[in-house]
Amino acid sequence: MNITSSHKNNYLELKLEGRLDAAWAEHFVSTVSAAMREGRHHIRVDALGLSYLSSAGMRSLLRAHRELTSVNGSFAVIRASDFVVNTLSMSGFDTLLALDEAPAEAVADEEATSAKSKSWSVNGVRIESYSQQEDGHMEVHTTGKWTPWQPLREEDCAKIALGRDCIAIGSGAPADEWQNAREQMGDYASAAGCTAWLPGTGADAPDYLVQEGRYVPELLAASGLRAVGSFSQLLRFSPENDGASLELPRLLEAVFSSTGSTKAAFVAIAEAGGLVGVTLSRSPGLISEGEHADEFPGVRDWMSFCGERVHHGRQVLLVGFADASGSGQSQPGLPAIPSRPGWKLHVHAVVFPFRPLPNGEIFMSECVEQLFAAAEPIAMLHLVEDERPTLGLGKSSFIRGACWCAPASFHTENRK
Amino acid sequence: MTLVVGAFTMGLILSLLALGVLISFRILRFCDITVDGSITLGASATAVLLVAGVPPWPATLGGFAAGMAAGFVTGILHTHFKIEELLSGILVMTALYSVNLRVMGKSNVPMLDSGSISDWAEALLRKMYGADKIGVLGWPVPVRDLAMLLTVAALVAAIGILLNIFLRTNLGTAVRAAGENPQMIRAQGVDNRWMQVWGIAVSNGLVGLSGAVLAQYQGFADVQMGIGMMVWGLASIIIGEALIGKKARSPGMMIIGAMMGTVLFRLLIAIALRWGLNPNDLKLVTAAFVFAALVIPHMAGKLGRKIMKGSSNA
Amino acid sequence: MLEINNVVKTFNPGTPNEVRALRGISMKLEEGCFAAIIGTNGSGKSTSLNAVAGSFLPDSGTILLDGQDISNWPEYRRASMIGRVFQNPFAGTAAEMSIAENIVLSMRRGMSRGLGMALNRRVREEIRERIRPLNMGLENRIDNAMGSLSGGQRQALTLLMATWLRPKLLLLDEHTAALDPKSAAQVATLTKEIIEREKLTALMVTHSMQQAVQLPQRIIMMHKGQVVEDIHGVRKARTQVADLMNAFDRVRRRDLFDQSVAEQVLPQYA
Repeated sequence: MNITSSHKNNYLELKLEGRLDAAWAEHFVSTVSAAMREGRHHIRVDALGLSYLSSAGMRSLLRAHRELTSVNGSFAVIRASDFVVNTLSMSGFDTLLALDEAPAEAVADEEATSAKSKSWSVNGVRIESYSQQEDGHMEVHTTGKWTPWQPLREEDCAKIALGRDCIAIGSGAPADEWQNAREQMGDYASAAGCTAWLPGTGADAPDYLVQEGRYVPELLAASGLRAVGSFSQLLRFSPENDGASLELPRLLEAVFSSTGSTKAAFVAIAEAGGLVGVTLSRSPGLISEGEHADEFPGVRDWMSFCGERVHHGRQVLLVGFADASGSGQSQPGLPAIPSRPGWKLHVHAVVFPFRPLPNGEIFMSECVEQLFAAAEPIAMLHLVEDERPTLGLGKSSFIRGACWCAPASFHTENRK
Repeated sequence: MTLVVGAFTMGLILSLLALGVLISFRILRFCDITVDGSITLGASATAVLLVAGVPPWPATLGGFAAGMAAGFVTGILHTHFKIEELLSGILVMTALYSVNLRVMGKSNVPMLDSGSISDWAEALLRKMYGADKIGVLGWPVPVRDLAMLLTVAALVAAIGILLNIFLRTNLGTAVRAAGENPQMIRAQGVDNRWMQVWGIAVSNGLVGLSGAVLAQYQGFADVQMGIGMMVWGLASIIIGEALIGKKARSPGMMIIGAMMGTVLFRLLIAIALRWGLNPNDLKLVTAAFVFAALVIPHMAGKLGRKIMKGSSNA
Repeated sequence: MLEINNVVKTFNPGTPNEVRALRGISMKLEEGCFAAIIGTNGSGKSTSLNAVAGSFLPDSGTILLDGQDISNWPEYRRASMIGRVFQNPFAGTAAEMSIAENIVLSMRRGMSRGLGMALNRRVREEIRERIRPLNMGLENRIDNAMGSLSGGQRQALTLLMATWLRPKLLLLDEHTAALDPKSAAQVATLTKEIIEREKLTALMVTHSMQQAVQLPQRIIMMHKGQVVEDIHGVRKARTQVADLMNAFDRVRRRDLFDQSVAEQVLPQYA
């Protein structure tokens, strides 16, 4: 079978020639998936050259239809010859058939987008911003009083609820008892009632906790930040040319400019260009009195470094807090970054298998819930910048995605 | 006929040498050059003992023991002092040149009046035939030569059988394995170094024995007599292997092959000398023969493959 | 049964070719335990096996087998307690000797070898009986030269030879690595059968994650001359190939985590 794709005004046309059967179904589906990854969510199949359609072929058409509608896209078969029409309608799939070539939804989407959004470009990446809630704002509190690499005491930890109303990152463990928790303290990230947590036992993949019914996940947090409020802005970004991607500080610049604030909280779902980060590989609860866990080479027992740019092409959930106000005052849980003097940043990334997002304006809770519902998290990273000359891995970067953000005010609890 | 009897006797005597070389070269895979010295050592020790009045058999045994001692030293040099096998052989061989001169006190010991291991056979033959010459296939042969031939034949047969039995005992199989695959025999709990030492000792013992008999046959021991003997033994083995075929590698066949090879080689040499080969060229011819035997099969194989390739391309 | 205590070995010390092959390895193998050692190239996995076998003497540290300190025993002496199979199928047998002669050598492993005839009718019958279950038809060919057999057949026989007299410890050094896939699978199955039937204590070096997951009860992972993981008990039961790959990845990442990385990332983790 031969597939020719041609970009029409606001949809993609795939011309199929030959047999769509078991041998070719997978090829067809992966062609559709690749198009979806590029953000093409309206697809029409030109079936005029189709000589044979088996049940496997039909199933692949249905799969494409289901995946595209799940991201608010559309899929239809056009210019179907009689036998295709007959096969589809006899099987009860005549909803796949369309008479009209241009999808009406695509036109409507485009109009809606241009009406509601502003857009600009950064380094070959187009950014659109949507205003989601005019007075959206985040109140950020520190959770837990642990100072990294000091021995962790029970009284440093704080029990926190991670419901749908908040976003949070930090180090902690989901256990009631201090004794259980201290051995498992690890990095976590939470948004929309969904919490991913990497046990500090050297585990490879994160565990996760999802708010369901009356169950609200709770964590014993050693340190971290937790915010309640709502997002004021949505940023959508996608590359204008192949290979372009947005480095994290660039994304944050867009966040600061669209929120009009130098302090911000954000959640993002994006396809990774490459991530650079570290994770706790051993629970800080096990640091003993007088131990210097933050000194090389001992630190390698406690922390694991990614070693290369990782998770290219995967879908990443970012939860983070940033402060570019340049105030000299140090804020617990917000370390400085090397690339931008005066900036302080704390971001955790939860890595999932790739799954396309709908285009246009979308909402954080739905998208995060769908992400957790569709697949299990693969990895968890505390993002860092590696600006070493020559050897450095650089900054984490993202190809396309969505970022919800809001101005934030930081409140520090009293520390000892 | 004297020529044939001479060649046979000489061939049988040297087949003891060939058996020694067979043990070191083929069974232990140890390129042992001590041979050139230990054959002379065996000859000189026996000659001196005979001249001193020691009976022939104990004197011959002395030659065997002397050869063994030389081999033992070579083995120890290689296994315990980690000297390369060729070099340890050369060291002992060189040292033996002086040792042999010391043993004999001069470069040549004639033993015209001494007894020899063939005395009893000679006496027996004289008693049976009562003549100085006996007709063999219609040719008259001196009793003395015939007695030597028979004695040597019996000795070589006995040694061949003993060696064959030994190589099939538990110890003998371990020695063979130590030569072929030291790693494997160590994993079976055998100290391959001592297997090698004793193997080389026995090998040189046989070489010494060969020298002991040779001296009695020739009637003298000479400090130069060992030169080129290792190559000689090697040539014999190669001919033997050609006779029995490559595949038959059982100890018995290897022993028979070495014996047959030596006798045949000696016959060929005798014929060549008769046809006018300069005796001075003998060592050159032998070396050239060994070279050809080692290289030609390899080249023929290459050539064969080339021809095969050519025909398959065509 | 086997106890390795802090064994250190440096090859060619003080030269440009210096290799710190073993940097203080320790492990303890209970009686009847079948453990696999896995590791990257040059991790010291084969070197540790050779240290136990006695191919060289360690610079420091001790090796105890069945309560005896064998650290200074030469290789051949240790063989009285240890059966070995090598990676190279040609290494464990003598090619020009017959199958029966090879086997008879292993029937006196570690025992004195006198001038008794190696092979007699009774011994030959015993050999036939014990190689018949291999189902390779070798019982009718015991006088053929070992060299006439395939690598898989030779390795199966080497394995049989190593366990002919029950060894206190069986050492397998990547013994299926040089075989074709089908023979490798056969030899692996045979290995498991023999070890289980004879309840042997065994240490196997392997490069195959699949084999490490399927055959042994315990997996020891080495890197740069050290033991970095020791997976046994219930943890071994849930270990999959992917877990081993992750473990290797962790080790590799740890190597990339150097002083300069620590200086970069530590201030960013607060």
